[in-house]
Amino acid sequence: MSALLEVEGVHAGYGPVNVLEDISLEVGEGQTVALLGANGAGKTTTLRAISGMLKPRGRIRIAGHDVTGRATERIVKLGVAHVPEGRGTFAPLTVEENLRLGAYARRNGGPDLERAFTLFPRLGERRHQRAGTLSGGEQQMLAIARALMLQPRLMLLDEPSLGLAPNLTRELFKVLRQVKEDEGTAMLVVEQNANLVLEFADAAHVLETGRIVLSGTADEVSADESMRKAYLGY
Amino acid sequence: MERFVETLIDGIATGSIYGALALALVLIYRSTGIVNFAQGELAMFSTFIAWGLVEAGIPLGLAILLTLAVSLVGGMVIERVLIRPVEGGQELTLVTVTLGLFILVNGLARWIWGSTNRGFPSLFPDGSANLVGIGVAWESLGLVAVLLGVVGVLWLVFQHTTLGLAMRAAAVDPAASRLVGIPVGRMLMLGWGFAAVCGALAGVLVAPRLFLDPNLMGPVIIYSFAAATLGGFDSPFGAVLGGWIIGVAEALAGGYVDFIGQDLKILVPLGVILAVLLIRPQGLFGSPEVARA
Amino acid sequence: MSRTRIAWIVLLVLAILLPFFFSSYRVTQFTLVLAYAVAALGLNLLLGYSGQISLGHGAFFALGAYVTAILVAKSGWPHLATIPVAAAICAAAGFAVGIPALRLHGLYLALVTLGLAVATPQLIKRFDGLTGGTQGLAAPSPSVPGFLDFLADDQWLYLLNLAILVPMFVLAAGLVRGRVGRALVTVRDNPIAAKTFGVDLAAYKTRAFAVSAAYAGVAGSMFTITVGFVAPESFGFALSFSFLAAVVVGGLATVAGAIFGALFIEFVPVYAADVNEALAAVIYGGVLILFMYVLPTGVVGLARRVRLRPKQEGERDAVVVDRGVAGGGAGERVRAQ
Repeated sequence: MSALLEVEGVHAGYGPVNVLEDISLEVGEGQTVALLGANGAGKTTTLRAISGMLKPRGRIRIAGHDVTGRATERIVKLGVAHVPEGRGTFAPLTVEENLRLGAYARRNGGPDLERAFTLFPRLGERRHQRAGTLSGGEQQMLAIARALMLQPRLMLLDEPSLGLAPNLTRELFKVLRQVKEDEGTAMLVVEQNANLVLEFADAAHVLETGRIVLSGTADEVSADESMRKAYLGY
Repeated sequence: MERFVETLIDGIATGSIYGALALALVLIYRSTGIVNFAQGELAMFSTFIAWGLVEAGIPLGLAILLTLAVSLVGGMVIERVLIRPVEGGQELTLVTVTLGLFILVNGLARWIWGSTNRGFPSLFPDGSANLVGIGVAWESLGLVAVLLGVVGVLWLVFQHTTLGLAMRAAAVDPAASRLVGIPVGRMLMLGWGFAAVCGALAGVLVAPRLFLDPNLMGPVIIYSFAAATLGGFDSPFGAVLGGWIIGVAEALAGGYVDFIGQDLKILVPLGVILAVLLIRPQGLFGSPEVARA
Repeated sequence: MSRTRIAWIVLLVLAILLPFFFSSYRVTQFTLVLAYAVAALGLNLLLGYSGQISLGHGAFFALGAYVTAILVAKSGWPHLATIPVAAAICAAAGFAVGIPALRLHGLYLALVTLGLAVATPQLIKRFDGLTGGTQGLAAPSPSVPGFLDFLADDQWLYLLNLAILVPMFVLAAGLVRGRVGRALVTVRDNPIAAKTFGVDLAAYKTRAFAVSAAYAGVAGSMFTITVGFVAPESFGFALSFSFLAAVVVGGLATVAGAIFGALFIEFVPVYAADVNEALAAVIYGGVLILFMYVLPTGVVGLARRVRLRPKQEGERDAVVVDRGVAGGGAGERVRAQ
């Protein structure tokens, strides 16, 4: 049985600028994998290559389908929900409309709004409000809730805690942990807050200037000397 | 007084046609950020198709329905083939391509149908209805009813269907739309298709009042530009209201201001466009970002 | 002497000899090409160098044409004396349009100027006391002067127009290469930087509009001199569209392109009419679209690209090269002050 997501020898970039050099990684069914590294190391680019937002060289397979170079909207149909950095909610649309759009690519059943509102009660209170009027934290919740509407097999999360107050960040990761346990959703998480994500990830990769320089289980990566110095601060 | 009311009603009726074409402009502007200079010519072409079908013995109502279907497909094909390669390009590129389309379609129509005037049958009966003591032509009532019907249908589609929601999303943020699985390209095609349908309706509504020839929509498109500018280029309701205001202003100016008279009526939309752009560039109902485009 | 200068001189000699090798009918067509070239050059100054879109240059062309026609027909002025007047009036009109244009961005400016083009024939008809309305106004072309009596009428008119065109082109070339041109390019490509360097955006843009309109006006005068008659139908919005086509076909931000563009808009309809009167429009439209896809730098851009190829492999867009060089130059110049 092959992994849910297989990235093999991927090179990608913007125009003539190559950002990723020979990236290979896997995310198994139900597994959580963290992508760590400094700004500009290529974490976001990796997620973009996987969801087809830019055209990579190499090979990317999702659930056995070769999706290298496939259009984003078709990759989404395989159950891949990408929450981009900076959230990407539709500001002029209401919370409810944003959530309904999250279920756009789902094949079975209508959008299950109630479940989203159970996970994020604040969104329920604001369901008819325009997304643009929400606070930053609420918009981040909305972005995650919208991604969950797809009932994804794989979530790509780009800096979910960026700009969130510490208590909101804890709340967010609680929800993610719950989703992971209840539904076995696999996740590939890019996160600055390495401590936080390593606590709940199964495996981790460290990127440096477009290459993977360290891979292992979350514990192995946490234990690595250079990693500790560079990212964990102890 | 009676003459004033008649002028007013006439203005609203004519304004409904401007509104329909302005709606087409707004649909395209909202989804692709393009001001489609060729919109009027596409409408004229559609009207010729309807005329051809009627000449071939097909009843008017059915001919118009068929025309709307052909226009929908035609609009989609034009977006896919001609517009897609330059989407997101520089303004000059976009303006030039839609102007090229304008000239091309106008030329094609002259080639196929020649430049002679042709009569086009009206959808509405002659005569007038009596509304609280004022005779209102059935045609005027019909024009307003058709426009309201179009707005109603568009509103239902955009506010109450998943397809409409997806189209709005694609217009707001194409990248985020792809991430939720919306085929953005197909939404843009549909936007052009819907616009072509609105334009075709404007064409078959205006043709009976004028004569059908390849320059049918030349003046109408200017009034519709004014309507869309006044209402706000991204506001469908603004387009309709703008159409009515322009229609009434035109009728009043033509009827009451001697200097303007019938020859210079064209200055009305021009004045409105210029005034709106200088005083409130986003129009009455548009969002301010549009002005910066 | 640079190769470009030699090429221009050869071209000028050919242009002078041209009327002696063609029929009178063709020569008149070439004379119109000269007028259109001046108009296209004017529009290109605006479009290519200051980046403002005008779909209404036919209006300035008409204004110039009528100024000449009215002064000649009603006040008995000599033809050539009307040209500075036409230029001045059109410059003033262009300046007046340029002021609101400052507040209008791309598409909206296109809209307003399109309106101007559409309204032009109506305005001509409305002021029929002055313009002769739908009837038109006859202002017979100047006759061959005695000392040139070996020339036929058409040859004389051609050479007269050529004599008007040459200084217009020399002036334009000087303008775009000089300080003003570089400032304009900076304004077009990077308005914010231009502002930072102290380029007065508003002043340059309105002046560009005025100069551009003056060119169109002079072209209009040339038209009247050539044709000897003006009527509203000659100045519909299709005329403005052809000017745009000429600029696009010839190449944006090139001086030489105006000539290619003018040849295109004069001769395509002539040859297309053999097949169908509407074919010219179909070709115009198709070519406008096609050029935007495959040859956005126009004919002159293509020529430059061919010439640049061996030296600058991998450079895809010749205009970009120009922009970079010109933009940088203007920046340095302003900084040095």
